[in-house]
Amino acid sequence: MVRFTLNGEDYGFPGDSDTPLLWVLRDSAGLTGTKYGCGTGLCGACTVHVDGEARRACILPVSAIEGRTVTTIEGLSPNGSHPVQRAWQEENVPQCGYCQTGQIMAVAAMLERLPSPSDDDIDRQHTNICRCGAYSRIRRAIHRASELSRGESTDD
Amino acid sequence: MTDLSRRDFVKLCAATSMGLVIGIPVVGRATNSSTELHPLIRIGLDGRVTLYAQNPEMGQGVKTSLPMIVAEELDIDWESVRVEQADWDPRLENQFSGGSLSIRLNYGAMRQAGATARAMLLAAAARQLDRPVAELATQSGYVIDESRGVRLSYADLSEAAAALPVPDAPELKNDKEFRLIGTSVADVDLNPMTTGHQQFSLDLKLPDMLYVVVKRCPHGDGQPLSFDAATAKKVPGVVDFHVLRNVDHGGRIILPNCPNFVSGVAVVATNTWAALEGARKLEVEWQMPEERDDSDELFRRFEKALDDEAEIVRRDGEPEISAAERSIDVTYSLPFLAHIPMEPMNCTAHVTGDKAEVWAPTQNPPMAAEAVAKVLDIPEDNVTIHVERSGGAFGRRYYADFITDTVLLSRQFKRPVKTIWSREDDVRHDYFRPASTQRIRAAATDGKITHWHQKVASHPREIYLERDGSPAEIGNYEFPAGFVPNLLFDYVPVPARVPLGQWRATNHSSNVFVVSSAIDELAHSAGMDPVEFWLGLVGDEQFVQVREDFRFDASRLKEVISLAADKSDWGARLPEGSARGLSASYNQGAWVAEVAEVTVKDDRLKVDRITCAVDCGLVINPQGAINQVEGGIVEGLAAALYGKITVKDGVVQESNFHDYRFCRIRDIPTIDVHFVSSSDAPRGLGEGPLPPVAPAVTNAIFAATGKRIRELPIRL
Ligand code: FES
Ligand code: FES
Repeated sequence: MVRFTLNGEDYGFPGDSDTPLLWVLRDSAGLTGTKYGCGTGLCGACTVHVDGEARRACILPVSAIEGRTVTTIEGLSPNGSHPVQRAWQEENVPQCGYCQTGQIMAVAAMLERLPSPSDDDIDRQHTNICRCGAYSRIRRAIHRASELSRGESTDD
Repeated sequence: MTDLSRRDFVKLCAATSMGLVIGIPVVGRATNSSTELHPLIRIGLDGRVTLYAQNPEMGQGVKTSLPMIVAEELDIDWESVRVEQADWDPRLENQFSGGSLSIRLNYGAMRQAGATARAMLLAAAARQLDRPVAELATQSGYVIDESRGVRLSYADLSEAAAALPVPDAPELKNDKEFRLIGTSVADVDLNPMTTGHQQFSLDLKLPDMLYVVVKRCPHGDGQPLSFDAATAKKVPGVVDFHVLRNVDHGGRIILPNCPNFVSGVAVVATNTWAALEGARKLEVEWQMPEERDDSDELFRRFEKALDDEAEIVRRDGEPEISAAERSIDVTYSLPFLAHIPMEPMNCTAHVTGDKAEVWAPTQNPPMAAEAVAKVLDIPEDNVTIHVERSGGAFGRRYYADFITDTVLLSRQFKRPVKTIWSREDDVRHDYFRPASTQRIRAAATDGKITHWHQKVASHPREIYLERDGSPAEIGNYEFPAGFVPNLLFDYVPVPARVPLGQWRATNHSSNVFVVSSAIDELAHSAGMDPVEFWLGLVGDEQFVQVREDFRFDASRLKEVISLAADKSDWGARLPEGSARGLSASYNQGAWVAEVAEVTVKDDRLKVDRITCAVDCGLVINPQGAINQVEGGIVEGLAAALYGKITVKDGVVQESNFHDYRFCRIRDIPTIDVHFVSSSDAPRGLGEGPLPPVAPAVTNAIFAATGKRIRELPIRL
C-alpha cells in the first residue's frame, strides 16, 4: 500500500506501486481532472503539485510519492476560486478544455516561484501543449493571474 | 413513423394528448416536471429552460453558439438557460460537426426552433388572457401584456403551449433586434473546464466496466496471425485478450466514407494502466499487406505523375504556354499530417442483447449510429449515442473506427467496455491529411496573371475512402478560377495505402499554400508589391461568376486583404532580417487574409506577428470566434513549422509529441484578429483561418531573405 496526502486527505493505493500517479488519480481515486495526453512527460496535461511543485503525473510512479503531498486541480481551490482559475475564467481561455487543468496547475506552481513572470519567462518555463492553440489567451491569463495573486497578497 | 413527414408528425404530436411534448415523440423525454416545446427546448415547471446543443462540441464553441441562436429567438435571458448536449437524434438535421458547417447549416433551424416555441407561448398567453397576440410581447422568459401590466412566465404557459398547433412560419426577429447574438458569451462549460469537473469521454466510468487497449496492427490493412501473451498476462489487472480482424467485421471500409481499421489484439484489464502495459508487453505476429507504402517513394511517384496524363478539373481559354512565355514554373510539396487531438481516441459502450449504448467523443453521431448498427447487425433504432465533449477533434473524430471496436468488445465480454488509445496509437493509426505535389506554370504581364496551370498529384481521399465522384483534390471553383482568363486545373491520382481522412480545412490546407505562394512569386517576378498585385488580381467587380452555380463575392476578398494590410502596417519599414508576407483565400465559408511578420537571423526563423482579417458573415459569439481564429492560426503555424508524417515499409514512423511536434507557447507570435462586420448570414469559421498561415510565413521569409520555400514543413 502506498500512502500519501491527496488534496488534504490521507490516501492509500493498494495496487501495483509502479503504476504512474496519473492512473492512480484517475482510475482509483476518481479524480479525472488530471488528464492523459502523451504518457511520456511531453505535454503537461497530467500536471499536479507534489509538495507544491509541478510534476507530470504520467511519468511519476506512485511509489515515488510515498508520504508526500499531492494536490490535483480538484484540490487547488474550492469552487475554482484560485487566482489562476479566476484569470482563466476572465480570459475565456479554453477551447476544447482538455489541456486546461494541466495548464492551470503548471501556472499556479510557476507563479509561486515567479510571481511576476515576463513574456520571456513564460516562453522558457511554460511548456504545456495546448493542441487547440489557445496560447494567446493562456499568456494573457498568466499575466492576469499574476496580478490577481499579487493584489490578493497585498490585501491580506 | 417513417411514413409521416416531419411536419405531419409534429402536428400529430401537437394534436394528441401525448402529454407535454411537441415536435417529438414522448419516449424518455416528457416528464412530470418539464415540457418539451421542441427537441432542443425544454421548459421546466420550475421555470428553468434547458436548451440542447445540437452539434458535437470539440472546442469550436457550438455548444454555446448554437443554443445562443435559439435563446435569441425564444427571447429568454441567457443567464437563466441551462445548456445540455443533445444525444444523437435522427429527427435533427445536420447533427455533425465538420466542414465549418455547424452554424452555417443550422442558423435558420435554430432561429426557427426558438421562434416556434416563442410563437406557441404567445398563442397560449393570448388565449389565457383573451387578448390578440399582436397586443402581447415577450421579454426575458415572460409574455407581457403591457396595457394591463400582466406578466406570464414561460414556465406557467408551457403546458398550454404544448397543446397548441405548431405554427408554420413563426415570425423571426429582425436582425436589428438581436440582443444576444453578436455579444460575447462565455463557453457554457467554462467553469467545469477550469475546475477539473468537466467530463470528457475518457473520464467515464461505468459499473463493472472493462478497460481495453487494442494492440493495433502496424498497418491498418494487416491482420493479427497469432499472439504470445506470456509476459502480458503477468501484468496485474490484465484479465483477457481478444482478436479483432477487420475482415471479420465488414472489411476496411464498412460504409462509404467510413473506414474501419479495427485489426489488432484487445488487451482487457481492470484499469487503464494495466491495459496499456499489457498491450506494450503483448507480442503479436502480424500479417502485413503486400503493398506497403514508403512516403519518400510516394513523393517521387507524385513528382513523376506530374508528367502523366491528367484528369481535367477545369479549363478556361488557352492555358498552355511555352517555357519561354512562363513567368514561373515551380513545384511545391506538402506532407501527410496527423490530427493529434489532445484527448487521445477513446470510446465507452455497453451492448446488451440487440441494444447498444455508446458514449463517444464523436463529430458525427449519425455515422457513429450507422456504423454501430452495421457491425453489430442490429437496427439503428436500437443504438443510443451519447455525444461527449471532445478534447479536440480537427476531423479525426468524424469516422467511427474508434467506436466500432468498442461495441464489438462489449458484445464479446457482455460488460461495459472503455477502449483507450495510447498517444502512440493515436499518432500511428490516424487518417492523415493527403500529401501532394503540385506544379504551377503561370504567366503575368503588366501586373495581371494571364495564364495559370495548376497540376496536382496525390494519393486521393475519394479513392481511398471508396466515395463516388472525382478523386481530384482540387475543386473547379478554387481560387484563382474565374480570375485568370487562361486557366487549367488538372489532377493525377496516385492511389496508395496510407490511411486518409478529413484534416482541418481538408485540401485547402494544401492548395492555399500553393496558390498564395505562386501568386507571391508572380508578384515578385513582376517587380510588384504583393498587396498591390493581389488587389489587381481580385479586381474591381463585386461579383465574379466562378461557376454556373457559384457567384463569388470578390469585394469581400478585397476587403479582407486591404484590412489585413492596413492593420499590419504593410509597407512600414522593419529592421534588417525582418519582413512581411501576405496570403489570402476563401475557403470553408470564410474570406481570410493574413499578413505574417517574420525575422530570420542566423538561419533561425521567428514568426513575430500574424495579422488576420476575416469575413465569415454574422458572428454569433465574438469571443468564441476569436478563439477559433487563433486556434486555426496556431494549427496552421504548427503545420508550417513541424508537421510531417513519414511512412516506411507501410508503418508510420512518428509516435508522440517529440517526433510529431506541435507549437508550444514560445512559438506563438502576436496574433491580431479583425472581423469585417457583416450582417450577411453566418458562414463558416472553424477552418478558413488555417490555410493562409503557412504561405504568409513563407512569403515573408522570401521577402526577408530571398529564399523561396516550396516544401513544408519549412526548412531554412
Ligand atoms: S500526459 Fe503527462 S506529460 Fe503528457
Ligand atoms: S483547449 Fe484544447 S488542447 Fe488546450
